[in-house]
Amino acid sequence: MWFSERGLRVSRSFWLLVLLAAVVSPPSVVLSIFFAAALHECGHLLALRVFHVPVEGLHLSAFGAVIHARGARRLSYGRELIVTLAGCGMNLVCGFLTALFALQVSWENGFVLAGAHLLLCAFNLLPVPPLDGAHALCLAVSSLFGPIAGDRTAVLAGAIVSLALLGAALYFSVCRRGGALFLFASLALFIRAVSQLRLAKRVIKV
Amino acid sequence: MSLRPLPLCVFALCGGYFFALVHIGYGRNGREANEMKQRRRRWTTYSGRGKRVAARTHTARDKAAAAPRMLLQLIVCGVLFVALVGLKLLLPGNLSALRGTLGQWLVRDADFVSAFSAVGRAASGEQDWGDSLSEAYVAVFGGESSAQEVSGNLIGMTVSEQELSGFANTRALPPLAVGEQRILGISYTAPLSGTVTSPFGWREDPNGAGECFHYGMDIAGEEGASVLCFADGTVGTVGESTILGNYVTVNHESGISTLYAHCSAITASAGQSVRKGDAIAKVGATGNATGAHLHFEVHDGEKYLNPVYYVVF
Repeated sequence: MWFSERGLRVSRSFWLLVLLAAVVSPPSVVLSIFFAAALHECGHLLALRVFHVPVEGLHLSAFGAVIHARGARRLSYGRELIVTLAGCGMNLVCGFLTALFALQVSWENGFVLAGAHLLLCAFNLLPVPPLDGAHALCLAVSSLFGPIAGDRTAVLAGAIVSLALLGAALYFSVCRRGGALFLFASLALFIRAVSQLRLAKRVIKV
Repeated sequence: MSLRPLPLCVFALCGGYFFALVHIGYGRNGREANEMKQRRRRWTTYSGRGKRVAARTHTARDKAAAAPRMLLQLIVCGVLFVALVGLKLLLPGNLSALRGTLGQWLVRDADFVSAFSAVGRAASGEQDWGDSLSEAYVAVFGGESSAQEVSGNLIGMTVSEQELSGFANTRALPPLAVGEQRILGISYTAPLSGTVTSPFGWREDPNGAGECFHYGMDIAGEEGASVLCFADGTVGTVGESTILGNYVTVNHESGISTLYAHCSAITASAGQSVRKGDAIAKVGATGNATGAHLHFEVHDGEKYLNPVYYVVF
């Protein structure tokens, strides 16, 4: 059926993340984030389904889920943009609906779930390479000024934003004596962004 | 403290696991790269038939090479799993201490439940977005005041007050802690009857994190015993954090608020009106706690008052 060719692959870093989350955070937050992330991926899958793109596999890692669908490359920029933003759209809609429902029935954990949806949506829209925002930016610029401009803009924006995030995380960890979690997360994003920068340079040279 | 080596052992185990993962991962990539090179060489040297034979032998070799790697991974994961389960079964207190230490190191006292909940409330239209976002920010990163280091001035205290509040030394109080008694102007009661196991003031951290200031009072109690509301008011936040466990805050008149932490369950809900003596929670040992007790704090605005003046058993 869906993950016929490459199947569902779960990397070790994902389990490590689950272990860390289970040890550090309260269960309501961890479950809310996982539920929101699952619905986010469902958004992408639904959009791919609508455009009749076969889905080959799903890879779960510490950076989130990656859907393997080679057919998506054949989509137009507009449609690929829709597929990319479908996950965040799903989170946005579910977040507001859950919040309204939680208000109606005064369900405490409903607000937490709604918050997880909205924060995940906002986080995914950051233009840093492994996240949806970078891909969406790349597609949007590509459709206007061509693919090379798109790639360059996305990579450059990723490097700048991840550097800013790293600076902010350093400030919170060192100056305000916050936890090291944000520092780790922003460092991982920064490393990904820099590796993309090197990759893009190499591609341009070729 | 004698408990310190244990978290260190687990950290070392986790470090070993990381190292094994990285090392094995690089080994695999190197091997794959080599084989790819060989395959390419054969592609140029042999005819179609030769290539097929070579490809088949390589698949078999791939599988043979993967087997010991998988076994090693399995052994490392197994050892880690057994170590953690053993630790949990034999020394449950230490695991919660480890959890506390890890939580303290990674997220400090960030309260993600409150932060997420604040964003959710804003989305429902119940709260203003600006207020909610600043509330979420304070819950995760702490307010301006909490970021200040504990190097404040000595707030006016007399010797008798020091004795009363359990201060054996003349060390300065943190800027937000108030040593002297203030008149609250409300009618109040003790939230729980029991032995005070840790008073308001400087103390050695129970998890071995050095000397730190204890902003509340710990009252030992039976697991599941009712925690009573200090005075009339409205329930503010019902939350859950790594440090405080299940906690509830109640806002009283004239800017006074109280916090009840490490509860096994919270029976009141946010926004509910409560009267003095109402049961709002149950005693527990959730969060960073080494036994069933209530951590009780009295706040006057952003200042922390010494509960010893207001809790009379």
